[in-house]
Amino acid sequence: MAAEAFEKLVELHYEGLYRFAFSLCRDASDAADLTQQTFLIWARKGEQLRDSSKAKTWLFTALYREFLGFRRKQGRLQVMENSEMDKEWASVPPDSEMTLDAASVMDAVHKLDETYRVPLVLFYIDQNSYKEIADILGVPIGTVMSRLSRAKSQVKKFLELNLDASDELSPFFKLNPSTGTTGAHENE
Amino acid sequence: MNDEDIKSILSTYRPGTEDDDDPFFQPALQALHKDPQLMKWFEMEQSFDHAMRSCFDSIPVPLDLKNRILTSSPPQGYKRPFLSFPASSVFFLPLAALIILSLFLFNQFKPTQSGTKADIVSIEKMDGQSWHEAMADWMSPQNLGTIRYVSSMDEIQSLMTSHFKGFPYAPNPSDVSQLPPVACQAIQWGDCRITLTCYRYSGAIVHFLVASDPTCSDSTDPLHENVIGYDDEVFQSVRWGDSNLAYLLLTRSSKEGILKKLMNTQNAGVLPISHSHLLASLK
Repeated sequence: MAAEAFEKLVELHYEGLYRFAFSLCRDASDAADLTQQTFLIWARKGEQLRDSSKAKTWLFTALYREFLGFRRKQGRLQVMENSEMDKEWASVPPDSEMTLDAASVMDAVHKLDETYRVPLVLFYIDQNSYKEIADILGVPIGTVMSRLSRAKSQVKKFLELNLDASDELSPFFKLNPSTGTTGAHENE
Repeated sequence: MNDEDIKSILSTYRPGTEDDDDPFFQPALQALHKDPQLMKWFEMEQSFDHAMRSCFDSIPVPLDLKNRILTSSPPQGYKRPFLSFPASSVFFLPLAALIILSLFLFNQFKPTQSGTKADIVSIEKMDGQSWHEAMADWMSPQNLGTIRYVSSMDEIQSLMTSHFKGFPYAPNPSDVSQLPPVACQAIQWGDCRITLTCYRYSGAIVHFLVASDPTCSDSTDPLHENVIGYDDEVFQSVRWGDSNLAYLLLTRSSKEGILKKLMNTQNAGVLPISHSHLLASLK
């Protein structure tokens, strides 16, 4: 692949891939490594891909497989994810200028079982379609739909539970871009 | 098709994309317009999707990532590198750690004589220029070749009993021992032998150095500890020692939490110290 085409490919997808990686491992350094490694794999094997329209799906699939391998090797990372690291990431974000609400969403997403979390993250990152998610995960379209639907329900439930605890309404349920003011709590 | 089927299908629908022309969604979309309750659900669903997508889009991407990818992924003649970690974060920092160690640990370390544990942390500013100059002296091929990348404490212990025999080894500070290890190195520095282990911590690399320092061997009371924290606006480090060994924890990060964590490691023996006091001292 010509250097120019490769640079274009990186430009198109590196941000989405990084965000996917970060959503999987919740560590900026690991996410960057995974993203970098994914393009290294592309540089080695990507030429074999005949249908260039599948490049995006190919890259996400490669990254996910790298993550699964990485997690097997770094089993201890899981211990950190659920303890000290989460607290610090949420409250002190020097490398991640993420708002508190976004951090709450990420916490909710990470409460999901991975079976549901991964399709949900793919759906919200880089505008992946249900067909692309099915390709990336290697599961039928019907499975993607059911997992995605259930994942959304659970995230909403987690967020509402958090809201009950803090006695505040989430911006999610206050803001409706299509109507300006309509919110879920108001409608109930 | 019942309401649940419609909701399940439309939960994957992305308006304004190729989904608008996808026949798969048409029956569900048509049903939507005939049912106000479903339409209300759909509006809320779209609002939720919009907010969720915004959250994921707000995940910041490292500024240098694109360049890192382009410089490390040559599209032609590619050969997989032995190390997958970025050199800047894992390899370079041990060099800096050694420089700090050489300048401040061996030459300046003097255990307290009061007979009690030190209860205060002294904060010292570093001269960035001096360690840059000293770095050139340290970079010998012998030292550069000994770094080993690891993924478990077992691997480190195995290295200590095989390749790194004779180098100092000490239990890691309690907090550090919970982190995933990434690298281990044995370094010969004049007469001094140093073992360096590196760990991942919240996007940074924490370095733990244990040194056999002849200049510290005069101390007779292992309870004497003199803990010093550094912040040169690039590196944050904590050093301490006992009668036989000298220790240093270091990371390159601006996170307050990391310095606090370093300062409170069990082996450092630091008595409770307020973080605000620490930060005030650093200014």
